[in-house]
Amino acid sequence: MLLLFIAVLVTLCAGTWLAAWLDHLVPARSSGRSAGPLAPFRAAAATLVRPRIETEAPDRMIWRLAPGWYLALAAVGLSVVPFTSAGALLDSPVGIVIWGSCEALTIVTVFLHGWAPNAPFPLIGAYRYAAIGLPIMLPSMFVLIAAALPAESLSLLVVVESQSEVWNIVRQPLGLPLFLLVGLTLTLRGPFDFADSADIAGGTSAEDSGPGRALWQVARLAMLVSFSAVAATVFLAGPLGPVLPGPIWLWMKTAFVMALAVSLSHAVARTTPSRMLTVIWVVLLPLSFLHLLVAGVLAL
Amino acid sequence: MMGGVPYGRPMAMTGEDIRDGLQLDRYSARVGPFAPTLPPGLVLGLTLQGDVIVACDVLALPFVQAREADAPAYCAARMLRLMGLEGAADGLIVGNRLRAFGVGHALPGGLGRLENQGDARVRLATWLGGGVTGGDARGIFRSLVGLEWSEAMLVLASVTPSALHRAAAEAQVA
Repeated sequence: MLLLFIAVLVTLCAGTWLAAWLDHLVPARSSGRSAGPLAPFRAAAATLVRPRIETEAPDRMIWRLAPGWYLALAAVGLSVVPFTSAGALLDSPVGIVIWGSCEALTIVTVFLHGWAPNAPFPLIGAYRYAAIGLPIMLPSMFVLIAAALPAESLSLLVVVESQSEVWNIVRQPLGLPLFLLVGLTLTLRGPFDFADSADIAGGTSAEDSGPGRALWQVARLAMLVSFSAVAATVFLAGPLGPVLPGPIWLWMKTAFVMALAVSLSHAVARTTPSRMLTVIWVVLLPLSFLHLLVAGVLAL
Repeated sequence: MMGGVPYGRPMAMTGEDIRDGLQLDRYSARVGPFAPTLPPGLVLGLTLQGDVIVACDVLALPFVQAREADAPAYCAARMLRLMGLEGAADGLIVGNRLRAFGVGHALPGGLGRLENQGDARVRLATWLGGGVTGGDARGIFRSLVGLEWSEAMLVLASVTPSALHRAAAEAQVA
């Protein structure tokens, strides 16, 4: 139990650092600059020493709490991930449902983070995110339910066991790509970053500075770690693998998904919110439903 | 009492939604001169319904930029930054090839159409190919009315800074 607790904590911290480094490394590469492993710490220190901005009549309590909630959701999400085939920190028979509720509450948290400063750009970001985040939850649920079908269980442990013969990424090739898009939305990244984007001056974080801003960015990266770990568990059989111990396999697979998500977020252009809404409702939603249908028929 | 300018700011009042005619809150504010999404110096007096622009006045002109700000690579990089491609934009400026997907399709077709210069998508493609375009932005501020915020920012970035300066001067006089 204590070991699992330490494993979750270490994964969250080390994963956040790795995510931050990748996030510096990938865009720097295209312009030929370099970014060492310490770059995230320099950026964090620079943010921390900046003074806090006060807007007029903000909702101070929510403004301070929102980054903490985001971080807490990332931590809860990671705690249902099995590190070995013996168990997870939160060994729940409905692990997928717990992760799903973390996803849904992320939308609420991001909305509140944009609501709290009482300023126009954050509020535009908040409403945009709610409009994009709600429909993207549907493909997410379809994809996760499809992955639970061959296992006949909502427990992530059983989902891992069900992949001992063949991984879900082979059985359901559309699952991981669709789930990656959900991950980009959950972590406010690249083509799905409609909450904190550049055209609204950083959106929900437009009025953030100092420690609050640093914590929000850390929480975003921590959520990327949790998302990658869940994706690695559901589609890449998590801790299963030859020779090496389970946690090592999970870490390697998590890092792989994370690198994929970061590269994608720096390589794909973001369209306008209304165009993206059309893409989600008209393309992604039917596609994920078809995916669920095929997975259901194959599982019969 | 309704309306007025309490504490120095206009009270948010309802007005007709320009898209479907329903009554919707209007929010009026000045944006600029150092809003990160606008060219430096430009101050717009905007009225928004949600994130749809329903009125737009030029209150101060953008600063005059060095001539190299009109270079195709810089113009394209400005649009790429709005699309979340910070790294690709930096790469473009140091002379690398564009490494990104979906840049053409990300812009809605017909957005920011100008006489003889196509729409924003065409101008970006021209800039990415090293060509010169977007040098005449007459009427661009009038065309912002009815656009959503992200579309409006893309339209403003789809012309050269010097053309935008001239268009702003014209809009301010009118």
